[in-house]
Amino acid sequence: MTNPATHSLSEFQIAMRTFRKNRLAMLCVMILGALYFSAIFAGFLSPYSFKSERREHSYAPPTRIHFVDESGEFGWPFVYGIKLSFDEYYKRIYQEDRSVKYPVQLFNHGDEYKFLGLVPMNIHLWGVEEGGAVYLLGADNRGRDLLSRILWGGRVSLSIGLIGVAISFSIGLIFGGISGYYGGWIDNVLMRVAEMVMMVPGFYLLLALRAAVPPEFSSVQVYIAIVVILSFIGWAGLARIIRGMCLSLREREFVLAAKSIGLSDFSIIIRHILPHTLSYSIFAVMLSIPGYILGESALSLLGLGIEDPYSSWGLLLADAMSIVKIRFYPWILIPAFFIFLTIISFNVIGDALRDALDPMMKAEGQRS
Amino acid sequence: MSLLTIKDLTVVIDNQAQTPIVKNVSLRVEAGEIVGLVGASGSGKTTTGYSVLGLLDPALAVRAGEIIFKGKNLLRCQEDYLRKVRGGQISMIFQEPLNAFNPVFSIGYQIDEMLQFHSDMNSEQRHKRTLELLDLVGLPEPQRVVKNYPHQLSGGMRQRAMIAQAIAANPALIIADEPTSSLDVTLQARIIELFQKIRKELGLSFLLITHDLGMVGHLCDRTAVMCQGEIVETGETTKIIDEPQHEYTKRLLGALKV
Repeated sequence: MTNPATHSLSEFQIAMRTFRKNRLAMLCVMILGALYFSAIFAGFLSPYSFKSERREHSYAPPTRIHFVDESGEFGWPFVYGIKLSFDEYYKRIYQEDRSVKYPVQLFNHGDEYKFLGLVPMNIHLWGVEEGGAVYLLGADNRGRDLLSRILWGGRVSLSIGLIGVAISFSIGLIFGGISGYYGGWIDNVLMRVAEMVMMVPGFYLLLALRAAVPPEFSSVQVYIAIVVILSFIGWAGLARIIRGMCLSLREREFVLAAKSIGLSDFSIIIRHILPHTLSYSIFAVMLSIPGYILGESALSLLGLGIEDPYSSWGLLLADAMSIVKIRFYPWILIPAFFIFLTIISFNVIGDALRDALDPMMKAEGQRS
Repeated sequence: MSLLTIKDLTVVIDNQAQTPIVKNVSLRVEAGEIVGLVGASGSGKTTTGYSVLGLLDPALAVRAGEIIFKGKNLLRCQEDYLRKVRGGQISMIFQEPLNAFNPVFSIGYQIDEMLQFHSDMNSEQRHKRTLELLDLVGLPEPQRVVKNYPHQLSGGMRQRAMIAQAIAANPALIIADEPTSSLDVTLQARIIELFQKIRKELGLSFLLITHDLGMVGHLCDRTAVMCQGEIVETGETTKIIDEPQHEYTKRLLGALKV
């Protein structure tokens, strides 16, 4: 098919073409791509592990990377040592120790981690040699590198959205599909259940469910518990909308035709009805991922989510809850910027997808 | 024994005692025969066709009667068996293929789906068979049509694709519900030719539901005339057209001749 005008594009491909023309959305796709990439390769990209701490560097400010040495010569980047002193109020003051120089090393050997969670490795993309310390975004109260912790924390914060959405949308689609296709008392029962979930204010339900999780859970179990809790809250709204769409879709003749070729009710729902809700589902997914990320952040912020020494963006922000700390160590607010960036990106992409996938809205936009 | 026998079929709305939509209808289709079921809109002919496959709207219910297909009463069969019959033994051609095809899947996918459920071919064989079927129903460039979506085909091509889907799993009977009503006259003639060709080559039976007596005259061996839920006249097509007995049949024929 050399001629691009040949009728071989599906509706979805046409929508994707429109989507690609949206520059802002494409920028957000790239931002998210970079964030997910850095989360996946967090171990390799970060100079330290999320739990390697140096108490003597508590709240060390961001380290400057120098390109020009004392003699004024431009060369390979390096950092100076860190010198700790106290002022008359015993406040920690960090200064550069100009007597020692640590060049930045590429592919240096540092903390052990598991590459992609499988292969044990200790090679990091960059870092400085033993003895020196580099905190590009500063350090936290236990002297852990904030950049490393943000990258590691991204694994939790970013994956929770995707996994949570996958679970709650599967439930929502099946619930809504069955409810709308059968109607009658099945519809009544399923929708009343959905309404019961929707009735309770989300955040309090979240707290209540979290309280039901045993405190002795390991961090992995807590992570799974949070995902399940968030999905449990999220499916109901979608189920209602899908149900409404299915109610009208089941009257279409192709459903009867599908029945006439011998498909079972379940196959009809999965193969013939739900695909029609796909365009709605895709942007609904995008627009609901931020909710999961914020939910996890809120839980971790309140100390109910991921626990130290593990890292998540919400947990990192918990440290920034005191105004005094923000006043003296402003860099601990940086994780908020990552949350902000992620959520804005998902919202912009979701909006752009809605515009691209919904031809009716597009037509309206052209008319106005 | 006939291929399909409908005996005293009565269909009512919501099990209420009002006038039934279909009243004591009896009909029989022999193997290799084309039977016409003629009547005005609302005479209950489509409802009769749908009840054979158990596709009735949930608001309608079969009150009485038997539908015997290959010796089994379909009204008493389990849903599992009915699913095998639908498409596999009896398939359906709808009036408006644009609505009957799912707009989000390609024609090839939808014919393939029929084969998936009613044959044990692998995907390669199914693809080959799909192309053969499209060729059999006279669609040019089957390779291209396979990838097309329903809205990309013309009305006549869509109806041919629908027929290809209907015959895909080698059924014994095809119920065609007003298969040509949405087409213009020249296309109607081509579809009638196609039906004759299929009957000759594959030995299928047809139950042709239509209001078009011209089509019945060309195609059907026997014809039943339905009026207000009842069969008022039945017999050889030639006999019905030449010497109509019932008042309603005469009026139908009169309307045609105007």
